[in-house]
Amino acid sequence: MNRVTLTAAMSVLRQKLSELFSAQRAPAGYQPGRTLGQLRRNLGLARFEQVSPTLARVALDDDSLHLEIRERTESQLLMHLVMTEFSVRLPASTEGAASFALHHGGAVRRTGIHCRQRMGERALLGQLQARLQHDSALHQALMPLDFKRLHIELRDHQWHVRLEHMGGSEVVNRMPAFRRYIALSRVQRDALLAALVGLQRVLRTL
Amino acid sequence: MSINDRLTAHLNRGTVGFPTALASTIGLIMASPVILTATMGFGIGGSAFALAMLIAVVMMLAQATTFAEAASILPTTGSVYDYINCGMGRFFAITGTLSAYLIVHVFAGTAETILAGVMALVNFEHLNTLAESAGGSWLLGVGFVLVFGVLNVFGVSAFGRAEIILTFGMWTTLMVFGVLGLIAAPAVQLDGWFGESLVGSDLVTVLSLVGMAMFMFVGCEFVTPLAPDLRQSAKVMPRAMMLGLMGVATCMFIYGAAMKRQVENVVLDAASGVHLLDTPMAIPRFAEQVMGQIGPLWLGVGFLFAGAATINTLMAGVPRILYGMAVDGALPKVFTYLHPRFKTPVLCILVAMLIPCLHALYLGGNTDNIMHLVLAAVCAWSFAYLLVTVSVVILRIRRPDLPRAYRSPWFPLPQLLSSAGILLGMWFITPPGMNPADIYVPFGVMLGGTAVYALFWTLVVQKVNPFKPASVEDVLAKEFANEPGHAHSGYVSAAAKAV
Repeated sequence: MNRVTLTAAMSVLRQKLSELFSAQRAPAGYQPGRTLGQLRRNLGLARFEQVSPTLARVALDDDSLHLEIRERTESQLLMHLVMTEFSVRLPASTEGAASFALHHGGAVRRTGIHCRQRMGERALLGQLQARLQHDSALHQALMPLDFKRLHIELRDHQWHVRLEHMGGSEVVNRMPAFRRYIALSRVQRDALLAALVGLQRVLRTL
Repeated sequence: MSINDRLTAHLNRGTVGFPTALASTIGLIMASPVILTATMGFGIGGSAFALAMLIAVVMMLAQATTFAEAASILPTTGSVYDYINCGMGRFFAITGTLSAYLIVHVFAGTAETILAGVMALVNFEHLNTLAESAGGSWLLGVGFVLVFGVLNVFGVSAFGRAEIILTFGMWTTLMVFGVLGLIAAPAVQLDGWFGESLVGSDLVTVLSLVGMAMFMFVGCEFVTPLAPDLRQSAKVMPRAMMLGLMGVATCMFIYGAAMKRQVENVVLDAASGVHLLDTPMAIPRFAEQVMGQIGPLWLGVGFLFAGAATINTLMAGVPRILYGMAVDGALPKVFTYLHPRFKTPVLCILVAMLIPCLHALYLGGNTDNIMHLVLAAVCAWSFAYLLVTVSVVILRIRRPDLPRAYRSPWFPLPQLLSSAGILLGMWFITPPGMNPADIYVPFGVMLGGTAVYALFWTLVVQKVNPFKPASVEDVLAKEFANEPGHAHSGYVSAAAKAV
């Protein structure tokens, strides 16, 4: 084997190993778009455009909400989870940069919605908390909603809401081998869409 | 498009290739109970166990053709459930699936919990002495379950990126130790590659070891749920299962021969007849013999991480499965409870923690019980295998018109061979020196409970004929409807499967 062939073979091997151990590598057995397809059935929205296997653009019939849904994976030993993230972008009337995380309060039962500022101007936190409390429709939608993560970011004159729900996710186990899709129930689906519409309404005027 | 065309198109699509399918069939080898089973099997049976392994391989190869045909007719994610449901109806489907996965998990999961600590600490002499004085090294496995359960309550995911490294690490470890043990000068003079059997080598003895040997190969069906994701699955899957079985067999033959060549199987307790190779203590002795002081350290760290990662996977996966079943209405509503702050299914995590912990505590972490648990798990698995085989035979007779991208060759010879072997394996499953009741009673109780649940669920909750087979076309239509890009109209409730 000459030197050029050996160098090329080493380069291919290095690339393959790099891909194999890469943090971005998709888990073995992951089928992009499968969970999104299941979620599509749960959402039951006519305007559901699959942009790529892992990304979809969705709109409500009355055009009151446009959102993106993206699949992401989380690897474990001989298992992976597929989660879906709902994302809404809208223009901001405020300048600057800020980031907030919303979560339910309470040790056993949900007692309210708490907002934690991760970065940015402190004044915005007070305003956002006040709006969340006073917008009863939004509050009623958020309280029963089983969201795992709800982040709101302000950047480049744009609000970006990212929500990850417990439903619309899938467990894919290889030993023992099974899949289980966790459905987004009708009640949760309605609460989710109402919450996203409500957040859009609140952030537009913030 | 006809169902035949759609099925062909479905089987030729997919994102997963041969390497993943092969990895799925051989993933089981890194489980601690498998390694201990091989050590014990070669210890007591020697050449007779090697013969039993060969019989088990032939049986499992025959069984693999049945699974491959079932997966080519029904390339669904429901796999075993759907095969049996279409062949024999929901009652057998629920019983078979729970038997294959849940009952196996109860027995093999408990064995893994007990062994995770024992196998790791047995390689560290001082730590092991300390752990034994504190109640037993098996408590480390219970500790793993508690720690990873609590971490999961807080939404913390451990070992997220360690899958490839751990799988690759354990494979390499086994092969390196096996090959080094074979090429090193033998420490024991043996008759043949595997030595003489301590329990005889007549036909009945060999058959009594087949059940133990089967445990190393059951799990080849784990690749079948990958069928919908495999490229050219009708060709790739049977090859992956067969190559996987041969790979596991080769690795275990090398490991067994190396162990017998390097470790003297001395009597530890003359009264009970316990030999060194019957216990986990044989493993550090083997490691030290092959690689000196670094050997037990290497194996200890390997088993520690592999055990912890396996238990973490159980703690991360099983609660979500339970939560999903509760959302679908297959379990009581209380299991849908989520922690307000962390949004984790606390009650489901608690149940997933309690099952192996309470079972291990009930058994007192006694490693003498491990083989009973393993063999009870083999019975559960074998039962599910029989149901799948019967279903495939029924479908061949009742529905010869169904498109089959893969047909089991020489039908029904492989099915007769595997079924006869499995029945013989279950009948003679008790190795010499063991009480059959210790295996059959817990398995029978669990199977009976599962059957009662299946009957109650189908008759009272689902209100369907439990013995009416499902239509293959209906099951396929539901599977194809889930495909991304397929047009849907309106909200459709998620189909709730009982298991």
